[in-house]
Amino acid sequence: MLRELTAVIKKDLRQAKRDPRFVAPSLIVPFVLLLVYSILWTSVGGGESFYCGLVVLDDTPQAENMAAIIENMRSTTNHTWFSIQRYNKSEAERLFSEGSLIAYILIPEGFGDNISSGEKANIILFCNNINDDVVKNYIHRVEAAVLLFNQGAYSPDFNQTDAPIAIEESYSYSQTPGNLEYMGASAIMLSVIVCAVAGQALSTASEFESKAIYETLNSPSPRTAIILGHTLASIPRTLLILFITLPIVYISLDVVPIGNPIVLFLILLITILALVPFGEMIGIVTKKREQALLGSVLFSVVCFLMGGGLAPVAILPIEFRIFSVLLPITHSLTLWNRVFFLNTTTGLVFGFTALVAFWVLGTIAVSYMTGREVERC
Amino acid sequence: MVIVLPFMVEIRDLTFVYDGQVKAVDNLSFNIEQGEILGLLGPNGAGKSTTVKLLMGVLKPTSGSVKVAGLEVSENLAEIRRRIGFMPQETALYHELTAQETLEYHAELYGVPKNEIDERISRMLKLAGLTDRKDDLVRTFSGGMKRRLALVRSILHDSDLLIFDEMSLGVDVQSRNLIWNRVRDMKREGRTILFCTNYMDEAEALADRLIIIDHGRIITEGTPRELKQQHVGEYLIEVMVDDFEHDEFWLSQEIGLDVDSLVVGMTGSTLITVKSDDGPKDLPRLITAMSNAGVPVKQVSMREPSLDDVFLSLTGSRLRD
Ligand SMILES: Nc1ncnc2c1ncn2[C@@H]1O[C@H](COP(=O)(O)OP(=O)(O)O)[C@@H](O)[C@H]1O
Ligand SMILES: [Mg+2]
Repeated sequence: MLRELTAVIKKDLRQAKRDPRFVAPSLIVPFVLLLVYSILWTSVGGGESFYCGLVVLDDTPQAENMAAIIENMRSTTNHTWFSIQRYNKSEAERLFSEGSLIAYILIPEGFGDNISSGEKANIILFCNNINDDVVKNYIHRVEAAVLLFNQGAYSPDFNQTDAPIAIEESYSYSQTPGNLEYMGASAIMLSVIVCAVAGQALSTASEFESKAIYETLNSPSPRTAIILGHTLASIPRTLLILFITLPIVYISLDVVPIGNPIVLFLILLITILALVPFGEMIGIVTKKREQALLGSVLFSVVCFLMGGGLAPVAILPIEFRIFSVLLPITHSLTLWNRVFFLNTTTGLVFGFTALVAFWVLGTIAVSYMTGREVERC
Repeated sequence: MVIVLPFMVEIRDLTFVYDGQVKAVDNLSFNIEQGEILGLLGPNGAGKSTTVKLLMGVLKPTSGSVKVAGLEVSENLAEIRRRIGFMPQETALYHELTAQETLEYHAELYGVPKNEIDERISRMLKLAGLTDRKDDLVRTFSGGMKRRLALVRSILHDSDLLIFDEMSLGVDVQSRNLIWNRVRDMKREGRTILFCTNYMDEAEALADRLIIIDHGRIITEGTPRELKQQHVGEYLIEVMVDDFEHDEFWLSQEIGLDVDSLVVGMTGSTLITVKSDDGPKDLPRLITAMSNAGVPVKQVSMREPSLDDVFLSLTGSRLRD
């Protein structure tokens, strides 16, 4: 078994070396997306597509004033803006916990009374700080509203200690990445994803093109050894792409991982294992190298966009979210971006389990499909 | 004491249907003896490749049984495959490997003892006439070179039963001669060989015994000589005449010989093929008889029948239409 395994790995790597066409999409796809995103984020911003909730629990005129200021503010810059939507408290809490509301502002009971009696009044911003740029946008909005409310108290003399409303900012995470940093990290993952899928699809399709697949499958070697060999060969073949993408992302965006490198490496590893069967399926279905490459790029890009590459999965409509969970790339991206920017281990077990499940199920599916294909040569 | 050796290959009532529709092999039964070289001859689509894929266990029989060396194929796949050297019709070579690497890969998959690999590979490369091209990628090889490489790859793991599917498909004349000679060498070494072909000259040149199949069924079997004698005769006399207005039956009566076929050519002349067991005697008699019957002979020739004539006589169509 070990002999056959090594033979398959050696053969696969030689093939990859002599037909390295899968490298091109692995570089082009992430950097094209990165470019599109940087243009999108810097020129268009989030637009009115982001919602910020507003919950008013106080029925004094002061509270209504504050609410009106928040609602009627207009952006004077091109930066991410959002529309305000009023909710009652329980609904806002529910949407926020589900993730479909990124942030909401709460004007608590007693707000008006505190201002009338000269005590400090509070407003509270609940914000899901997945992304530094997004959080800052919400905070600026609240800050601006507060300044407007505290009319006349303009910078530089504005002293918060005398202001009727105080701003107290505290973060539950020490640091969150900006949009471009987030995309840089995603680009690294995406290059690995495309490389894993396209590399395997190309290898499998070329075996079908030359019919050489029958040399391997008609041999006495157990099918497990053959499929495992393909999977193991894909690991070095895929990881090589990091020698290109890591420096590019570092040099152009100054992005370096913060989380544990070993955990990050394990995430890449399990991602490759989970995706290789999909590449193999694409190869089996297309059977032509050109179509296999095209198919892999389509598969990777669609899954990437669905899986959190376009917007955090949490704010997608529920139907999309269910679909996203069924894609391996969703879990890879979530794990990767979390550990890339935070030194954390929360949520790792679920993500890893999901990816291992994709690997196992994918391998079973591939084994079945190969069996069927052999019979219809 | 008498030792009864099992047949190398025993096929019983074998049927295979593709996708529940195409009956590619239809109730086939035959045996191959140890050391025999058996040719499976038939036109494209006759079911030859399907039959050998069933033998290799690539396909599972729809019904019937296939045994190799007494073992039921579908129940002993790994064991069977180690005992068979198989060259598929499609050569199935990795284009991105060199000739040397191709053979190394095969040796590993088939468990050739490590200490024998190098020696065997260089011998195989020599047999295939590829020694000086051993480090070139298969992608750069001609059809003949690929076929030669596929042939030696199939004998690399030294098995007693060899199966070659269309060994000279897409191959130049030199390669074809080399391949035929290698196959004869293997026969001399005592191996059992089954080959599929739709070239009658190949069947005639190599086979001890032939099975002619069409539409998945055995039409006839025997040695090439037997088949020709049985179905055609020792000689075929071809007569060309102008403005022939009669039919086969009439002519057979007039000349007292069996008319095999009658083909009207484009120029209006007719080619008549007549079977004969004693050509030198029948030929002059035939010319006289035809002249007497008012059909002057324009041109005449005599030849030994080919397997194509056997096929034509049995099915009414040619092998390679
Ligand atoms: N994979 C397949 N699926 C469906 N039909 C097939 C397949 N392979 C072969 N056939 C059909 O089975 C018949 C026998 O084919 P094959 O065994 O390849 O013939 P041969 O090798 O004698 O040319 C043909 O009618 C062919 O069209
Ligand atoms: Mg065939």
